[in-house]
Amino acid sequence: MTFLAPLLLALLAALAVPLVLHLRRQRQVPSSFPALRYLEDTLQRTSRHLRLRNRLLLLVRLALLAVLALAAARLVLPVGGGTHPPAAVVLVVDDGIRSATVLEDRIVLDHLREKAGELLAALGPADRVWILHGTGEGQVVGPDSPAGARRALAGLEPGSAPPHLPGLLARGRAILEARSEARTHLVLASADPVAGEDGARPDAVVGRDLALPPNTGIAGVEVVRGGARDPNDELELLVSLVGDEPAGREVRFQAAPDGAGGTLDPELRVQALSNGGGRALLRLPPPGEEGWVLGHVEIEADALRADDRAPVAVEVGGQVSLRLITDPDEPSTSWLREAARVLEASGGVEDVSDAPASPGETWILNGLPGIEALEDPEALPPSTTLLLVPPGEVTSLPRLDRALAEFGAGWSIRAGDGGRPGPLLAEGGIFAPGVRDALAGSTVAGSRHLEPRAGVEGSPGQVRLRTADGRPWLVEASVGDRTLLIMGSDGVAEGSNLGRSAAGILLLDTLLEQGTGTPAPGAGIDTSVLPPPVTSPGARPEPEPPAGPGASGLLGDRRGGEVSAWLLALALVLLLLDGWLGRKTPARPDTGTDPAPPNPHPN
Amino acid sequence: MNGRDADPGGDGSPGRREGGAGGPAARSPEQVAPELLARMGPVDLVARRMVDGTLAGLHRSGRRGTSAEFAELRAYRPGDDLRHVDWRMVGRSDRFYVKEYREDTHLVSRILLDASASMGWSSRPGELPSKLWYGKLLAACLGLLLLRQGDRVGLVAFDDTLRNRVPPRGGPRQQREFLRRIREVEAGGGTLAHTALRDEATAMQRRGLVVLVSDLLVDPDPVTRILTTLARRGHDVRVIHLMDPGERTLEGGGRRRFVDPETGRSLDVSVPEIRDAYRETVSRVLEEWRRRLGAAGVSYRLCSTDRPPVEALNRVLSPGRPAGRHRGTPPRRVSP
Repeated sequence: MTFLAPLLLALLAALAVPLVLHLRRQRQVPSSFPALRYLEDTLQRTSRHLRLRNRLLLLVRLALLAVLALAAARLVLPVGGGTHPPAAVVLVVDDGIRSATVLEDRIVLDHLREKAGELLAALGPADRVWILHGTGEGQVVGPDSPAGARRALAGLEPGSAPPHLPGLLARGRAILEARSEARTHLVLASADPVAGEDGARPDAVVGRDLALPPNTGIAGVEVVRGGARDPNDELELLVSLVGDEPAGREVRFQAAPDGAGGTLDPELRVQALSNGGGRALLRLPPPGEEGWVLGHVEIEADALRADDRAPVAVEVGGQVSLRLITDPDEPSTSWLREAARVLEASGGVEDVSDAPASPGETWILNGLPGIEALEDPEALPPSTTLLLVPPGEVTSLPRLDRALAEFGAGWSIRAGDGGRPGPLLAEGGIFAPGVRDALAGSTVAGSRHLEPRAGVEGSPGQVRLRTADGRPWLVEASVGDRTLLIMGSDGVAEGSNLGRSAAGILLLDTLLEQGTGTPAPGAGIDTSVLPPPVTSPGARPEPEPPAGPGASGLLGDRRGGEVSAWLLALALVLLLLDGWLGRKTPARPDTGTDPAPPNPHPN
Repeated sequence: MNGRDADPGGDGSPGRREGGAGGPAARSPEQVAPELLARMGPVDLVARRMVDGTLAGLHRSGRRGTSAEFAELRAYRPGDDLRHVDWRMVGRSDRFYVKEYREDTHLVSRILLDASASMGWSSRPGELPSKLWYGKLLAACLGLLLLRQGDRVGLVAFDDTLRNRVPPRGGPRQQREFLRRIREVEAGGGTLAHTALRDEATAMQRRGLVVLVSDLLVDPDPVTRILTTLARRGHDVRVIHLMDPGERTLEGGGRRRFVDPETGRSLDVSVPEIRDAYRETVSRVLEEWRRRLGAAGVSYRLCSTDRPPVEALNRVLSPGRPAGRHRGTPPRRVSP
């Protein structure tokens, strides 16, 4: 027996009303009444009946209130096998980093598992269930039977990053839209109080009532000084904290132990206090040699351990040579340059735009200068990686497409219909989890249409990123010894926010790393975007009532709905019974006199 | 709710429509009664049964007398008045027969007025008269009516005991005395009516009219027994059962504590719950009274104090069952 709206069980408190009324002894003012003997006769005759009737009335009224409360709480009884047509259910499980929060000696994911399991228990064997979980574009388990789905639920583990729930929900909705079942349900299991409010809205949400404890976590680690160029420079790491009380926290850095390939003293410990903005600056001594600075930063552990510790991997030396060939009038130029500046400041990138071209460089091309550079492949040094950002104006696209064709790229580009703005979904393994998550949190419209070019032999290359509606957005192709990366839009047009968010910088960082062919042992500059702050319950925005059938009441539709209907019918019967028991027989007309005798002397 | 001997005043009719009650203008029953009788016009109260009296009057007597109404022939006995010999029968049968005539006589009436505490109650004081006021009005009207038609009328007011007693007499002096004593009657103690009635019944030697005006909140068995005995002795017994409408219908709502004004006993009841059953009880009790008294040959009249007294008087004056012919103008009923 479960309740789909258990909070409404509070209505059972109304049972106290008839009880109190029944037990209350009213203070009575005496009044004179001479026909007391008639009252005594009446009571003697009816007291048993009245007592029985009053008790029955009390019971009926209590039962009526209880039944109404149970109906309001949407009682689900495990009865019958169900005769409904098969249903398709997609269960999106938030198994992101926040699901590792410990709540009442269990992690949040266990709570979600339990609540989702209750819903699955209400399904029949003919129903089909998909489970969507994980970060980025997520993973799909199923379709499976409810029993199989329960087993899959049991195997989930908290991830290390927040899931992109809007993307998962959109994907779940797409799955359901392709189904032929008459009943389809999209259910979200998440403790996030605002989950499911954006994008595809779930039909029901479970787990929203879980009160997450206050949490402070590490939002990111940024190298603000030293690093890449000179191993004798001090290394300064700026650690950003988020959450309920990020200020005044002790932040510690600990170097990786021996054998991890780090260049620091394994015994190195550095600590600092976070300032009012939740930032702490950790000053590390110069590593003294090129290579990787490895270690981790951590804060005092709280209920959510996963964001209390973050790895640090900074490559000292081994910079990427970046050449920007951009058109100042292009909308993408500003964010590309800003991203390059940030990356250069972090030490992993050296801007060589003003230096003579040399092999192994990464070129970022946009606008007309970028097309012209592409049109002159002879001028390109060997082993160059080209990142092509399409122009904002569609008039330049044909020329760009011709240039690509002449360059030998296996992809063509043309004007697209824009598509639905949404997150970028990563494919393949080149993106670190943090980057994938950041991209999944971005909003990009596929304003340019990328497709394999007809008539080109061999593979056109790989799709690295897709738009929310599945169109290729970033493709990678090899032309000779050169690598060509083509973006599907400039990242800022038509509602896109890639160029205005950290995701753009992370994207560039990853692409530049890929271009140099020097994979990081850890996560490069580990600026993994950790989950958004988990605020305390007091600061948590009030969740709106979820769409659809009540709080997570969806899967109860079949049986809970039936039971509710039966309960309402029972309530109606009880109401009639109450009326019958409490009825007052109408008093007979009473003139107060004997019938008048017939007039013996009529006129 | 209690209004001892509430007096609605006005012209003797109870209720708001008759001018309210209790104020300085309120009038006592003995003041109202003559006006009420005047409104009713020429009415008579005729005994339903043969009664005994010493004077010629309106009512049929059990005695053979000299009135114009032939009764029977009987054999002549020495000493009989020769004027009554039926000579026609002598000529026909050669035997002497004497004509006998039914004697009309005056009526000896006793009005027994219940003056217990319960009679002083009104469910709507100021709007409705108390049962005692209503009873006193009826008693006064009956007394005046009987006195005016030459009968002898006595009054007995009682509660547990005989409290006020006027022996049956006739004439203008008795009329003044009768009304004065009625005025003095006030609601008193409990109703052990049977003791008072038994005492009075033993004093009634001659057959006559006995009118009991009471709310009958009494032990029914002994009272019925006494009334039955009186009826068997040949008295014309009439019972006027006064009821306040509040006693019949049990108005009001919620839980109430009712206190008996006579005994002081109290009872907590939920009025809405018990109302229907109470009304059934009252109906059953009234039916029981009707049945018992009817079986004993006692005329039973139920009068509600929210009805015009004229209507009640009409009921009382109408014979409950035909008692044979009577002389003179038949009683005229007056529409209320």
